[in-house]
This record gives sequence, structure tokens and C-alpha cells, in this order.
Amino acid sequence: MPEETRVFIRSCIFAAVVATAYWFLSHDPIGTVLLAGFGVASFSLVFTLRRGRSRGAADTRAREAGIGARIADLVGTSERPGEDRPFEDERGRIPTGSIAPFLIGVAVAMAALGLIFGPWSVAAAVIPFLLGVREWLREVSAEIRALAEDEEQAASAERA
Amino acid sequence: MTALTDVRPVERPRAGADLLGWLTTTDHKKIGLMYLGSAIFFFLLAGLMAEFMRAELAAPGLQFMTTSDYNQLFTIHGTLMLLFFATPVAIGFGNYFIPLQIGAADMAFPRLNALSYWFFLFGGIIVVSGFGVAGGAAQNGWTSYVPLSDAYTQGTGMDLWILGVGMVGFSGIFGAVNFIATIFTKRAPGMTMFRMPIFTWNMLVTSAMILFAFPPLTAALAMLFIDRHLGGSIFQPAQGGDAVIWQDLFWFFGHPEVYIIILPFFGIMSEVVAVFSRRPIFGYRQIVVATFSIAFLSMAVWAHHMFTTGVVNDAFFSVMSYLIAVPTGVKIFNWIATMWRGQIRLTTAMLFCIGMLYTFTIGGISGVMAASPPLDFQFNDSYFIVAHFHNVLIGGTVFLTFAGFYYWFPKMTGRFLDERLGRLHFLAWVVGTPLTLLPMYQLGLDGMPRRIADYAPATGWSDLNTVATIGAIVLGLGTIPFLVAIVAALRQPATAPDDPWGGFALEWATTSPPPEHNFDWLPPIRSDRPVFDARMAALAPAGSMGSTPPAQGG
Repeated sequence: MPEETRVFIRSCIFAAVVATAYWFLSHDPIGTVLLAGFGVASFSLVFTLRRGRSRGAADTRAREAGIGARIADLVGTSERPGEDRPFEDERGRIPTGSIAPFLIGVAVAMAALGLIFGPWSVAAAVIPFLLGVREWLREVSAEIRALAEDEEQAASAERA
Repeated sequence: MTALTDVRPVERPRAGADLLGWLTTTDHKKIGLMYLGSAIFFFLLAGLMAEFMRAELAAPGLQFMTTSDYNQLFTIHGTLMLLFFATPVAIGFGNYFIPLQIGAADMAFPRLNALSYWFFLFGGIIVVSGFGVAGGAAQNGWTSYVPLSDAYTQGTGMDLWILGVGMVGFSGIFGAVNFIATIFTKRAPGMTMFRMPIFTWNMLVTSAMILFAFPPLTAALAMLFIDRHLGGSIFQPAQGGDAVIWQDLFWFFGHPEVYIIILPFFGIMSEVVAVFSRRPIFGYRQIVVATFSIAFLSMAVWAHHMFTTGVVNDAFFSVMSYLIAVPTGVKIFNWIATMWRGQIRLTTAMLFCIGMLYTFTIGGISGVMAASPPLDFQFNDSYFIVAHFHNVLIGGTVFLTFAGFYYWFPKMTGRFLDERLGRLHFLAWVVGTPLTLLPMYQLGLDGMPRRIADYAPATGWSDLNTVATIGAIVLGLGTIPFLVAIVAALRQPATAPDDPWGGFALEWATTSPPPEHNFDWLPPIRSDRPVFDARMAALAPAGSMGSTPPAQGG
């Protein structure tokens, strides 16, 4: 089991022990719920990590002989990716600049102010919000397409 | 190895020249710089508020402001310092250096990273804008206890506080998700978890704490807003609600928050002390275990802030609070052991770390005292508590923020901060901090309550208050050399080498400042000090070691 998962298993166990002890010591429902919530949140992270690991394992094994090994050779380490790395993913893509986060940030701030100053501010936030979301989705779609093309090219190169 | 020590000019970055570039950036380094710049701006603003408050308290009577003005100042001062300086400055350092320390090209979610920054910035602007509305900004302290913050006592400024803090809450959660995903998925080959630098470990733990602690705050803020505007009665005892639930929810966030704003800086301390002692960090694994112990325990100590409510289990929270001193003490001893028989270089960064050891420890020990319920009943809401947490946060967070700047500024900008100005800066802060805070401990023991703008001459508090105010002036003036050093450095050409300090972690393997994709090559990662290993390998006779990095380091 990778260290990443162990970290949250430990916090889950800690929260379970402390919440139980606290309940028997205090019978305070508020504090017990908060501590138990900490445990449940930890457990959900353990669950997510394990699920992600099993889903990413096939990809990881495939890449170990490919991109990962090339990186490892390049940097001169004998170790291979995949060890202790549940979501190993080294495609090396760096997104270009994007106006989407700024637009969505502006829109959310305006909408929040609308809760105090009236619906006109919420209405004014709609346009930057939609523009931001559209731009964000467009960029993500383009990246997914480029990634698929890369993988297809790599697969055809291997076949050749 | 010449690649790591070459001195050569680096192309001057276009920072500031291209506004659109900054607005649209998803580069973790630029976002890190934006976080750091904004956090320092909020630090200076909140520091100015502190100076006004100290000026008011220097003598009995109301000299400069009304009690309402004073209430607004201490509320926004606390909010800005904790949520818009201390937390984001850690996130700023994390943004810049985590991908570099783990050998990654960027964060896992670069756009989410940018969104996180904009939420933080706009949240801060919204909170501060409270000064411009009728009735002024929020006036109930950064804790916003109900009923002080309910609809019957507060106006628009309080609503702006709720919205601004809510936005920074979401920003923190986005940032935490991003850090965890980056550390788990973007590490370079060979960078196993137990080869990560301590700073990266501490940011990982901090991010997990943010994930657990910030959602209760955001939920509490939503409930408060519902109470204020939608006829809710969640915190209204007269309508069947419970005001103490606010305290539970707030402190379930608030106490982990104290460690959220100290653990990243413990990480900086570990980096700086090791490099400037020319020794590996003493007890790497113990420090990691201590960090986790602090994080776990910090989730179960929140109600020591609520001893005086009479509705919490004092013994449980007191014992848990005492326990948290143990892993913190382990770290202190580890840092001292790292320095022990090391070849110490007293750079400004190292001086701030040494200053932290005693300043933070005084604050920590006074915290252990306050963890005792009988003592807390005396100290609660007195200046003793004000002195305690300022001692911890100035000694820990602020001193180590400065250490981080002096240590990493050459990497971030290719320029050095002036060491002479740095020593002046350090001297002012190391003298000003106890001068400001030690009188406050005595004032608290003498019975002076916190959050008062005035006191009667007959109380006998004026002399100690005057001394504290002089100390605050020293701190304020002592910040000027730091700002001058930054401006002066940015006007110089970028000549810093890749690895000016003889560093250990991967950030020192790339250029200063790094290229957009961070690395052109990476040294082999076979320990928690890959750059040190590479340096030693380059010094070894040819053929006696394994593979060495290419000659060009950037």
C-alpha cells in the first residue's frame, strides 16, 4: 500500500479512536459529530485513493516501459515510475495561459456581492461566468483531444 | 559540478510588463509570486492597522479614533493577518516551490490554481471594502462570535466579512486539493514520499488539514448568513438555536488554522537550518512523524478556546492540548541538533530561524500554560492571550516568512536581497518582538482585557502599554529595510547562480529564476538531498560514482 493511502488511514484511525473516547467522556454530540466527520472525510480520501490507484494501475504499467522509462534513463535514475505513485502521470503537458479562472473569479465575487446589494450584481455576473466556463471547457476539450492524438501516435509508433 | 554553480546573467523576466500575462497565467511560479505579493500587501495593511491600535493604546483616553473604529481595526487586522497573509503566504511559497522540489513541470490543476488565487484576492478586497460602507467594517473580532455578529448587532460590513472569508475558504480548499494531487501524482522518477523535502511534506500535511478544517468554516458562514438574512435561527437561542455551536464550528476550523499557518513555516525552517548548517536535517523521519502528530492532535483541541463556556469537556481538551507540545518540542530539538556541530553560516535567513527558536518557544510555552483550564479561566480574553498568540505567530509565521524570502528570493527572481539591510531588518524584529509582547503578558496578568480601545489611568497599565507601543513602532520601522531590499534587488540585473547557498532540494538544480517548464534536466534522485548528491558526485573522481548529470545546468 503506498504511503499516500497510509497517511489517511492513520488519520481515519486517529479520528475514530478520539471520537469514541470523546463521546464516552463527554456525551457531547456536537464535538463527537465533528470528530467523526474528520474520520469519515479521511476514510473517503482513502477510498478515493485506492479507487484511483486501481484505475490508474493499467496505464502506469503500460507507461513504465515507455515514457516513464525514457524519463528515468534521461535523468539517470535506476528507479522506475509507478513505485509509490498511485496516479503516476507524466505526459509533460503545460497548459497555456487562460482567462477563464479570472473571469470566473470576477463572476463569483460579483454574484456574492449580489447577496447583499441586490440581484443586479448577480445578473451582471452571468456573462463573465458563462464566458469563463465556456473558455475553460474549450481548453480542457482541446487538451483531451491532443492527449488522445499523442497516445494514438505513440501506439502507432510502437506497432511500427 | 559547474552546472550548479555557474554565475551567469539570466534574461530579465517580463514581470509587471504584461498585465494580461499576469491575469491569464496558469504558471505555478507566477501564481506563487502573485500570492506572495498579495499576501505581503495584506500583511502591510494589517500591520498598519496594528500600529494605529498600538498608538491608541499608548496612553489612557481616546486619542485618535472612536471605539467603533478600534473594533473595526482589530477585526480586520486579525482577519487579514490570519486568512489573507499567513495562509496565502504559505500557499504562495508552496505554489512556487512544491513543483520544483518534487521535479514537476507544474501543478496538477493549473487553471484551478489560478482560480484559487483570484478567489483569495477578491475575498480580501471584499473584506477590506467593509471600511467603505455605512456603519464600517465588521466589528466583532476575527472569531465573529454570535451574537456579536448576528443581524441585530452588525450591518453591511459584517456581510462583506462573511462573503470575503467564504471566498478565501473556497480558495483554500481548491489550493489544498491541488497541492495534494500535485504531490501524489507529479513527483519525478525516484522521488519517493520519503525523499521529499520537509517543506513539501509539511505542505502536504497542511493541505490535508485545510481539506478537513475549512469546510466547517464555510458551512458556519453559510449558516450565519442564513440567520442574518433568511430568517434562520441556527445560532439564535431565543428561537431554539444555540450560539455556542458557532464557537464549535469556528474553532474546529480555527485551531487547525493555527497549525495550517505554522506547519509550512516549520518546513521552511527545516530547509534553511539544514542548508545553512551544512548538515542533513537531524531526524528526517521523526520530523515527518512529528508533523503528522501535530496535524492529528490539532483536529482534537479546538474546544480549549471554549473552556470558559462551561459546556465542553475541559479535561479531554486540556490533555490533548498538552500532548501537542510534545511533537512540537521534537521539532525544536531536531533543529537544534541539526545545527549542533554544523558549519553554521549566519545569513539573514538563518538569523531569522535562530530568532524563531526562542521567540516561538516563548509563545509556545505560554500556550501550554493557557491549556490548563484553571489558568485559562484567568487568562481568557486578557492581554496574556494576545501576547501568547502574537508571540507564536510573529515568532513562527512572520520570522519564517522573512527567512523564506531571504532564502528563496534568488531562486524566484535571480537576485539577492541585500544582507546588510536584512541584518538591520532582523535586528529590529528580534528586539521589537519581545519589546512589544513581554509587556502584554504582564498587562494580561494585571487584568487588562483584550479588545478595548481605552483604559482608566488608575489601572496603572499605561507604562507597559507605552513600552508595547514603542516595540510596535520598532517592528513597523524594522519592516522598511525589508521593503527597501526587495525594491533595490528588483532594480538590479539578475545574476544569482542556480544554487547560491549550496542547497539540497531539487529547486536548486534549475536556473534562477527557473524556465517556464522548470527543468531542462534533473539530477538522479536517490536520497532526500538530490542536489547535494549530484554536487558530491561531480567532485568525485571520474568513474568512481554512478551517472552524473549533464554539464549544462539549465
